[in-house]
Amino acid sequence: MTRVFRGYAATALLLMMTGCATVPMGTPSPTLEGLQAIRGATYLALAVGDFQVDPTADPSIDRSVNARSVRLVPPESDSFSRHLRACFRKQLEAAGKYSAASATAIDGWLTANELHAAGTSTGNGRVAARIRVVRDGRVLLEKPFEARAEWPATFNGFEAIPAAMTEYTTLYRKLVEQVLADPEIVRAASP
Amino acid sequence: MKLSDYKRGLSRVMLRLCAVLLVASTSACISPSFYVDRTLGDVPSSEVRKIASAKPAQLLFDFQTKGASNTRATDFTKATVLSTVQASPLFSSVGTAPVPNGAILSITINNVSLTDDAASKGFMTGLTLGAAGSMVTDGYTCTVDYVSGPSAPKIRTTTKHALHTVIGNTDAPQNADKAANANEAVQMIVRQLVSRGVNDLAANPAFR
Repeated sequence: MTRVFRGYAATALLLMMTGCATVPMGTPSPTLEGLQAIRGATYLALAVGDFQVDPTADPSIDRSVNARSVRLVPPESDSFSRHLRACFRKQLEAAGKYSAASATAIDGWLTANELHAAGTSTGNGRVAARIRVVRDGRVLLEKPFEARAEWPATFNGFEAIPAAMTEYTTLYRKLVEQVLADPEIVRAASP
Repeated sequence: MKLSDYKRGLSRVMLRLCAVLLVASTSACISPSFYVDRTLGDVPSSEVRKIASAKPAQLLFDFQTKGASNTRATDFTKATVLSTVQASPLFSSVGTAPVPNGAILSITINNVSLTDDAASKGFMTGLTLGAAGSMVTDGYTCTVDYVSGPSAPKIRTTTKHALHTVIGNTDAPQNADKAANANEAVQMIVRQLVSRGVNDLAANPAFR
């Protein structure tokens, strides 16, 4: 009976701690290193064009990912591809290199969006996109990019769920910083 | 007694025990108390550094949990960080937009648990209705990076703080001030960390 009681109590407490919820994710802040890389780049102010889910990908990757019982959704829209667009704009604005009127723009497609948080020893996530540099309607470069992360996980959802959420959220900043500092992107976007 | 009666009785007992546990776990008897470590404290007015020509700076702020960006905690504390930096005499103005001189003040607060297996301790306190009290300590490391312009070298200060959380029947920590609630404790820690970290920047001769 003691064993059964412990099982019931543990289940009750775990349910209280974890719950089942839909949670909007946040937008990661720019980093000093990221901004310095953009400022040092030779391109002038850039516009940010349209971002969509890749037509060959499962459309569901654009709507939500799960961290165990928590459904994580994009913060400012119903689409992770539009969230990626917002992250690009935020990063360029913070670096003083955003202009909606610029003839040179970056746009792209979200090709992968994964969060694996069910494991009790490690969790991992991946966000990937095809990015284009476009000037006056002409495509100057198209290139795939990917950001990955792996982190320690535990059985305890009270620790594992927030860890998965924070690590996954940071992937968007990693991807954006990678793109905006990429030598080929810099070269293509420069005058 | 029939087996079905025994099972029914057992279920009733378990349901009552679970109900008691759930009520107790949400009641004040095992609600946590928060203590802000006194080691760091506020910067005394006699130690506040001033410079002849304060300049504007762009503020970047990131609250991290175990090194990963925690956007909810960032949103929760950024107003305190901004007001604390704006109160510093080292800068003429501070905001989130780029400034003409290119100066950037980047503040990162990283929260890590300093207590081994903190979740298990709290879980056991809940299971025993607070009889087995526990104290867990969270560490906060504030890293302040500053560049005065696009090609200027980076200056860094690092400051540490601690929050002690007591649950159930256990002694209050020494050398710590009790906060009214978690919100007050965290805002106090953030304010003390940022004011100290920013103030210490001016101790570096390269700060201008």
